[in-house]
Amino acid sequence: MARPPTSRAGAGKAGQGAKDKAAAAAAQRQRPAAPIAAKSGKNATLILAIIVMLVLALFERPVCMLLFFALVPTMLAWLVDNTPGQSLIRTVAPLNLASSLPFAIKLWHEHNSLDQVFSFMSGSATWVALYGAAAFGWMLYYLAPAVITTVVERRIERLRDAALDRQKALKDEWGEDVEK
Amino acid sequence: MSVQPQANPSMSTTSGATVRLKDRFDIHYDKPLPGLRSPAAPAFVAEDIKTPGTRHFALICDPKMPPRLEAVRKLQMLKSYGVLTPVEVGAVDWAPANRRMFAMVFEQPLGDRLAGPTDNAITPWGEEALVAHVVAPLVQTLLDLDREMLPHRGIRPGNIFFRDANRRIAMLGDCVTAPPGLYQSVVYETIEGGLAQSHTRGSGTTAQDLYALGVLVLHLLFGKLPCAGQTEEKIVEDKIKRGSFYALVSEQRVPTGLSELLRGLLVDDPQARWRLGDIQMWLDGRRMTLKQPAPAIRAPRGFEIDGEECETARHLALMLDMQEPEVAGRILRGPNFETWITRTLGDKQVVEAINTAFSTRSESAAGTSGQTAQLVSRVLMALDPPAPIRFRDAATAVDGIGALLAVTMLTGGDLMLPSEILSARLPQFWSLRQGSAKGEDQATIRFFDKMLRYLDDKRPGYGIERVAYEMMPGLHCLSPFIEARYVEQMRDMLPAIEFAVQAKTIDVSPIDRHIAAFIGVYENNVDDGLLYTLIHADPATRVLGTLQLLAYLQETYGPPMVPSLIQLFGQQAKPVIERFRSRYTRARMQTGLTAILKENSLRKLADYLDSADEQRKDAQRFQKARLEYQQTIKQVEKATQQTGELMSTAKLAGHSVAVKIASLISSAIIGVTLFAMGVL
Repeated sequence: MARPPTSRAGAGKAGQGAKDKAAAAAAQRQRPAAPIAAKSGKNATLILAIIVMLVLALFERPVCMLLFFALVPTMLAWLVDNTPGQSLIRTVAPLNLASSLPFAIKLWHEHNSLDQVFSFMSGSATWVALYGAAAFGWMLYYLAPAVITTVVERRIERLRDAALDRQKALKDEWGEDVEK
Repeated sequence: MSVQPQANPSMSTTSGATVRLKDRFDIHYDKPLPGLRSPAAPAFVAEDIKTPGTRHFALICDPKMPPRLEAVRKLQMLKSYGVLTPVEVGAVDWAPANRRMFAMVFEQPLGDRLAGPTDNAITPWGEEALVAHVVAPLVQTLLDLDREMLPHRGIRPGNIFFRDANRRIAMLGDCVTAPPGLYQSVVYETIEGGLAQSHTRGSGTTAQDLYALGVLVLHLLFGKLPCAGQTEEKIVEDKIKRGSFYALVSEQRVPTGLSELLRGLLVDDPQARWRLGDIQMWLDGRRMTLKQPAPAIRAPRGFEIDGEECETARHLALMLDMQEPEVAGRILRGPNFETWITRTLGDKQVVEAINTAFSTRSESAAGTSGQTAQLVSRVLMALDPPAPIRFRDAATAVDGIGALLAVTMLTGGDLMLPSEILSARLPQFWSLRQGSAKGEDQATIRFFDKMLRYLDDKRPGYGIERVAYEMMPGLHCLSPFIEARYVEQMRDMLPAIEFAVQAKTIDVSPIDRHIAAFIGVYENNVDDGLLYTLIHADPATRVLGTLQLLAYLQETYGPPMVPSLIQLFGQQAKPVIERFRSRYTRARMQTGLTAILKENSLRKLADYLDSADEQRKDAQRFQKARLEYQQTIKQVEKATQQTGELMSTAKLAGHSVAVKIASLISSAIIGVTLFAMGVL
């Protein structure tokens, strides 16, 4: 079957679209590898979390419910964290999980029911405990670099000041010739 | 330059109207002895404080005329009674002249002078008395002097004394207070001596003394100076044209007994002139055969200059010398001259010498006129080889060039003239024309070649000043700083410089070209390199060079204390101390300088300022400081770079720390929870 001439045009457009895709792929190839690795890491974490939650939903529905509410800060961290090593998740998640652990154990050992879960949720102390630890993780994540910067900056400043003082002392004793 | 007299125990002391010479003689400058004075050296009573009762007198030399110090040394070794011999010599603070002068102390002769210094007319002497009381003793003295190769060069009636009050034994007077032959009348000089300027006649030889002895005999015999009333030029011209004997004797009748002696002594050719042995034999009564000198070659037709017919080469040289160099140059380059020399005179030696004179390259700073003057001078030497070097206004014996230079310097004359004589190698040309045996010419040529090298060397310690001190032994240092201190030996140098500094005559550098040249001549241990530092571009090197040189003089000759010089160097130490790069070293050196200055030792000051160890340490520390400075620059750059990178690195590090802290706290919470809830 003979093809209409327009198909050639269509074929031409299709050819152009293929070229654009190749360029996009090439551009993508040229992007830094770190975000890709970070994204794949994040996806792995997500998959792991979903699997754990599904397992828990099948066998320990109250615990699953508890963790669903308790780990909201960790989920938020997962959403906003785009660091290569997922530092935010790794900071927030352990604290968030550790703060959830007492409630999970209590639930497991005492009344492992959804009512008990809601009972926990109705107490403000529960939220303070769960989200306070997560908030501390967030705070830690954002304050640690500032503290480190301040400490290191001061140390560098001290070294530079010592070098400049020595330069001044050398010039004072030997004159401008010492620079040559 | 006005210099106040200053007592200096190492040289001489003054007390009242006396001045002490070398702790032995008190010279009374208020007691002149006109009867014993030399033409330019007044005489004063000198008292020997170690041997009272002896009769001495001192001659105070004219500082403008260099004395014959080598002759002094020879006379002192000779110890002849037939000539006035200095017992002691040295510079003294001469209050009447307000400067230091050179004094020579002699023993007073018992008899008086043969004639007054200016007496041309004297009582005629009898033939026998003349020979016995004058000629015989003087010949004996000349024999003594000849053994020391010391021509007297001052034989004239006014300079002859008697050893005894009865005037029976004549003795020669002073011959050391002025350059040789300076005060001799032209009559008493040979043709060569008469052609030279009075102060540049040179030491000559005993033959010139014998010629003067011949003239003395004539003078005493006739009671009047031969050729009296004639001008000096006329006398010399007469001697050249007629020969000395006929020119001096003139129309007078010479006694037969003395005719032989006079003919022998007044021969113009020094080789044919009688020698001392001949006179001794004549005195012993032996009849001598007169050596007939080879007669000068006479041209059949004279060469006319200014209406004067010149028949001999020597006469032609005299007439050419009377012309201006440009006029003489035109005559020499004219066709008549060449024709007359080659065809009419026909003296092959003269022709050859003139060809050499024309072919010798003339180079002169004065341009064409200088080249012409040099050509004229060489041609004069070719025409009349024994005559002195005649160049422009100078006429000097080859051994009188030193005196020419010295007197020119002393009188502030134009030094270009003696410089040009040396630069044009005229002494070497003169020596080559003499053709004497024993290699004397070659020695003279080598000596003047050396002087020329010194003259061309413009560094301190050389130049025209060095030539003057080399050629005129005994010439005192003519530095304007210390000339009035009359430094004629190295031990007097530092005290004189100290005095000049004290008198503010020296306020910057104590060593000028004269002092450097004087040190160069008399101090063999001083390295040329040290002298060169005196003109170094770096002020610190100049100061240190000067200081090292003077420190050496103080160590070698003293005196131990030179406070003014020390203070001068203290003021000039700044550039030396500034050489140290470390400010702290400079401050330390400056502080220590005060203590060193108090020690009054130039050596200690030199060692302190010129410490090699200190300089080495300073240089090493400076290198270390430079390296350290470069390291600090790198440290600052690194700190700046780290600050720039801090935000990114600190964020990563902070997050890592946050993760670790969170892990720790979480682990702790989990552990506590599990333990508290009984799980564990």
